[in-house]
Amino acid sequence: MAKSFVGRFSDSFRLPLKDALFLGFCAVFAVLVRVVLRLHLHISGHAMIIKIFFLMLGRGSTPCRYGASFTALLAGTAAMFLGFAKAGPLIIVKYLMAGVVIDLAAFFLPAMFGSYVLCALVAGVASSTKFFSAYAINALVGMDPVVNLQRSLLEAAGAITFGIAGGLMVPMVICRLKAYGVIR
Amino acid sequence: MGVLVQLKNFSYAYPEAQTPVLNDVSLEIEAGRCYCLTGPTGSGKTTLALALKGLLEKDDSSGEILCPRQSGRADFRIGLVLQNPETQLLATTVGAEVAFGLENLCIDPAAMPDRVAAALSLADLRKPLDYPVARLSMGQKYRLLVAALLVMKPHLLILDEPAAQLDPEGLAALHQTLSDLKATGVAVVLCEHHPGPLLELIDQFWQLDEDGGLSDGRWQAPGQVPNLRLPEMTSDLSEAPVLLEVRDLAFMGHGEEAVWDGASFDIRRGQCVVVTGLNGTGKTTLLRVLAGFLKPSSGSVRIFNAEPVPQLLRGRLGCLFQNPHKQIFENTVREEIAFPLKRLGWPPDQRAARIEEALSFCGIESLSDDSPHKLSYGQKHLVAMASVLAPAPEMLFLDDPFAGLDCARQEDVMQVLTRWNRERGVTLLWTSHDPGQIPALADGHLHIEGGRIGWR
Repeated sequence: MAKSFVGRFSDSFRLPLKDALFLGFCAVFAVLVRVVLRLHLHISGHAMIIKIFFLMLGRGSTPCRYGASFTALLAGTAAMFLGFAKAGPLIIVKYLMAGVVIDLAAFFLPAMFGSYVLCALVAGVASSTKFFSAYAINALVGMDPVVNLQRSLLEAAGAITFGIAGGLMVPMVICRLKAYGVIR
Repeated sequence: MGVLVQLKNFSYAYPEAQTPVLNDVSLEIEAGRCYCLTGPTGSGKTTLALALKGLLEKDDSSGEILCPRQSGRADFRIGLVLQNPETQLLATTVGAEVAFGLENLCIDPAAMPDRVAAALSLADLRKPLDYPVARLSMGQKYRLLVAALLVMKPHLLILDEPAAQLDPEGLAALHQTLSDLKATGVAVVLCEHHPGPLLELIDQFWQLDEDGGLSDGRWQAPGQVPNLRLPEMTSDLSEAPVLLEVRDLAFMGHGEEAVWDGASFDIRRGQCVVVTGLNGTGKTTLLRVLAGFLKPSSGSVRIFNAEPVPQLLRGRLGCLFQNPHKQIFENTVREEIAFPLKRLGWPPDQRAARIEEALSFCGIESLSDDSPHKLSYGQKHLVAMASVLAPAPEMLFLDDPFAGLDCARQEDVMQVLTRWNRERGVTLLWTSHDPGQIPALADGHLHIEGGRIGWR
């Protein structure tokens, strides 16, 4: 019985090579675009546009139920080694939280990648995880709770704005990839 | 002779398609025989070729594909040349492309040059081994792929629409090669609308119907239209204004060798001129130079009394490329046809009416909401033609407009071009790789041979 459970569990996590390559591509680009376009805009949350776009693209272009989380894990690990965002290993958690939100949304709303409204909504919710990561990091360094709350809310507001922009690009790209037969 | 490949009750449906493209297909391919697969444009000939090669996803298919000779043999090989050779090319030079298969078979490098040269000779491609693939014409690319497969000594050779790409000389060489291969026990499958000189090699015809069923026999277009009766010209073309003026035009190719030079001719409004020449003589290059996409080495071109600048010719000149993949990019057929009209600022109501008209005269109404990228080569050609015709240009450059179309579709397209030329006065300049097939519509014939362009 234990063997059959392990077998079923393993089957549910099996990833075809094509999907694995596509998720890897999304993760690499999520990091690479940020490296190449290192924009010192001093606008909080502007990196979210790239992050949300590639995480949603990873989930939308593969039937894999954990596509966004897997992409987030890969991208977060790469970002950690490249020293992004001065967050150390916590950057993996930052990526992963957004990825899990996208995967959950895709599970309950399977048609969301064809809708601009749903993509924008999910992107906004996924970006709002920035609040929790920012609050946790600030609390760890000993910031006053009231100041921390205000600062984290401001950072989250910026992240949500840019995240929605990233989410709005997804249906167009998914539609084009489907038309070309690159994805199903 | 033994059976090489067997299909048993094989069915295949493309993802998201309502009906299967291949439906309960059963066939046997025996060694040393030549088969010809016929059927209307878009009936699934290429899909069946992909199935025989084992390139279709198993999740979307049912039935069995058996290769009895494969059991216990690691060297059983099936070679497939697709209709659009550009999808299969991997290397940058002719020699590297042909040698690629040998490298995969771990052949001794010292033995490769002779085998590569022999394969190129069989495919009638006389180019140096370091010649860039990008500079070959479509027909030459097709020959290169045939050579790349012959060099690996396949047991089954599948050729998708060879006559659509090869000139009469290429077909004659292919005829000889296939005849020799048959004698050595190689099976050949041709997916072909017009077998032409290859007809005498064919042992058995198959036909695919529109429901995806396969039966014996050769498909004939239902109710084929007899040759068109051309409407009388309304005016004397010799008095018409000159739209295209070419003087001492030359274009240098690879290694400073002239593709053609000293070309001088005029084309008047309302004329229909056909440019013929064998594969690689520079027909496509000529159209590109005339449209302003390529700069000539010397000489002058004046089109609509001005230098050819593509941006300025938008809406007045329509270009249909030989390879439809190069001009199709929208998500649906309807959007593809709408694109040039949007760019030209047509109002939505006029645009919708013109799109319906373009869909109708190309006979692709049923495909309007499909992705153009997933259609057959012939259907893509029709979509590209509809998008070129939609803005009603004054002049049309058509690069091999009949490639990959069945007889019925060719007649349809011919009717459309005739109407546009004779009734609307649209000037046509089109190319053909078969100098023997000059349509009755043509009132001028330019021929390219030995680097010279002249009237015939």
